[in-house]
Amino acid sequence: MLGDLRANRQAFDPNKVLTQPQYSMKGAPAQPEKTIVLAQVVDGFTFNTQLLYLPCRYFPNALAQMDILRRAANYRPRWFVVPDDIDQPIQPYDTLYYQIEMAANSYLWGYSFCSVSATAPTGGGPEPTETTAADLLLQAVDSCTGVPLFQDFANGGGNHSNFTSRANPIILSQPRLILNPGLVNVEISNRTPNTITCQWLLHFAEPCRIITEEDRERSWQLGLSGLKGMGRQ
Amino acid sequence: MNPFFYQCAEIPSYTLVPGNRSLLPRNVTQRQFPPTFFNRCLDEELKIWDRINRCGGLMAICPGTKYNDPPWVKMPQQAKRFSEIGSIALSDITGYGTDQLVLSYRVPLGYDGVINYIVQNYTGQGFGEGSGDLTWRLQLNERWVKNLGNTNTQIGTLTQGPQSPNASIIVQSNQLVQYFVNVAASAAADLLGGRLICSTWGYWWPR
Repeated sequence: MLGDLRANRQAFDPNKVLTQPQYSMKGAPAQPEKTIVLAQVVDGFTFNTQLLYLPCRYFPNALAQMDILRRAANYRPRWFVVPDDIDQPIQPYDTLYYQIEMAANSYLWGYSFCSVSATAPTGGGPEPTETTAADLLLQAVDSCTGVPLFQDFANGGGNHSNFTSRANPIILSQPRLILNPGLVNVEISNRTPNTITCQWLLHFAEPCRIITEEDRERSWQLGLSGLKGMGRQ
Repeated sequence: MNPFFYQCAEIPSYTLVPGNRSLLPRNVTQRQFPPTFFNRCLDEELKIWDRINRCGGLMAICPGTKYNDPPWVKMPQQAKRFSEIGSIALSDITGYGTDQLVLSYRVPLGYDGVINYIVQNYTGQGFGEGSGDLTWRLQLNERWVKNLGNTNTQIGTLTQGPQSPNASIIVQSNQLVQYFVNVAASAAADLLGGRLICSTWGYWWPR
């Protein structure tokens, strides 16, 4: 097996699929026959030395579901924060509606949420007051399909990562495709009488549009408009 | 095209820009890679969703009851009306300054619905609209309904008709609807007798 990996490296082909050779029945095979071995993905998760290999936990299994997206070419990260202004707190008993716009066919693959600070209602208690992510409820809906990320509003406490966690960010069990026109409706609901400052960071992978393609489309459009103009004359 | 190999020859020369003593591939990230086998996997998913959308979307192709008009706008034939009414006497309230539950019910399992008329009233004396003596709050599961989580005025009536819709709150199967009222601690001197009424009217339809 080691030899195969070396051969793979020598072939200088990180995406090449290798089929394991047939092992002799005399010896117990190290792994099932004809398994596929792919080269290690090199990205931020690979370089995160804080990540522990815990195969029975959610994180590595969810990360495995992201393998195809991680290995695909021409996607770049794009992160959105909601609300985009950290000084825009959510009023007591209120719900923030916010729509984010990205390139169509992006993938939502993870998120982080934190409740930063809270102010008690006027005349009630010392200010600022304590807050936790559990004071807030979250929801995100793909505007194209109307399919929500959660079945109903999810408690922020269960979606909280204080940016020091090893399993940061929280990743979805499978990346969610955001269809054309690339709009996501985000709602953050405040359950408390306090005015809360919070932020939800959503991680997307956005398809890179190559400039040459856009140039070509633009020239096509110009040509089409020219043809239409000729038709009118 | 071999999807597994990164081949410079596949990048047309006209896409290159002069760089550090050589020509560089040009795109937003200054890198251009040919699509891999895994891009094809993602493209397949995109094609599936495109097809679903061309068929009319998820709601059109999934099993379940189909309605010609949005059911929250036009009451379907199978829909059932509901009118949930709750009240509490002011004298029964012990915890001034805390939320008192007046009305609570669950949406029937398998039905969605719309609350198109709400009532929040006080039948006693001494209440000034918007004074802050009374605060009504409407909650769906753990979430306060937008703009109805902190209202200081009465809305609607149960004694004068006809009732015209004053709300359009969509509720989902098995959701818990709760109506609270909060009597401010300072209200004891202002309010006299009467009852606090909370009510929601509407209909639900089978999914």
